[in-house]
Amino acid sequence: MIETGLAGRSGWRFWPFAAAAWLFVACVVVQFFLVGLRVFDVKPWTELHADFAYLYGWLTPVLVLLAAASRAPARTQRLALVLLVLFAIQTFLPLLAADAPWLAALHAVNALVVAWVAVRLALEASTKPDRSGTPSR
Amino acid sequence: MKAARYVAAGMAWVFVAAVVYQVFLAGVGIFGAGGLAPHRDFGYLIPLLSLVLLVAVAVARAPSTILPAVLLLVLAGVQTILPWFRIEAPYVAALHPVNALAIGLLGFVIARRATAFARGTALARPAEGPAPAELAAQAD
Repeated sequence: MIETGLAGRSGWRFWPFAAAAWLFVACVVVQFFLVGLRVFDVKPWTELHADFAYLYGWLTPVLVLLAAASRAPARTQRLALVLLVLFAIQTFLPLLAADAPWLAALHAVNALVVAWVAVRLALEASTKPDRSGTPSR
Repeated sequence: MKAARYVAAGMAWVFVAAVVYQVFLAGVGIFGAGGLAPHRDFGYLIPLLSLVLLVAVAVARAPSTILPAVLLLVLAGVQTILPWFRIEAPYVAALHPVNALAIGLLGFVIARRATAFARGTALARPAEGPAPAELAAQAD
């Protein structure tokens, strides 16, 4: 059974998930740079931060699907789901800026959490599971 | 040495908490809940904390954390300088949040390794064997 699992993750099912996970990490890093452009008022890029989020945000449901399709361990699939939820919260938080700015301020903290979960997911996506079925890293 | 390991782990988690708080203060300034002054003022504490963390992990002799802690100290120093470029080189200044991300992730990695080292689990191992005094005691 273990060998079947490894074989299933080593072919075409495995690489799209790992590639998409690392692509998401790269997008998060770019997104942090874009927020810098906004905060330091570098024209004409100040609105790009919000627009880019809606562009690469679609990767989060794709990651959930790819995690399932690649037969990733349950823990990794849960992590993809957590990332989806965190990202949804992330897009919602700035909407509270007018009514609850203290809550909106959590947008920055949640961004750190999104980044950490994304890196964990990418590491797990690019690591074959050990015999217990959990990622070896 | 056991106490030093726990102090290093504790210091690492204090650093992570300080970074999270600092990021929250940035959010407070950006979203208008307050000014950016608290973020700027608290920010000068981060390099100091990273220096204390480096000393703590060095005293604890947690080898897989010392080089990252050196890098963390450098990044924390760079972080305080980056906003100064906002006028002359705004694209360089815009790296401030990216560097903050690197500091946060690196701090978290050090904290996890230092905790594992304190608990005696596998993430980190001492680079050297027992101290000479310990070897002498074993020989006796």
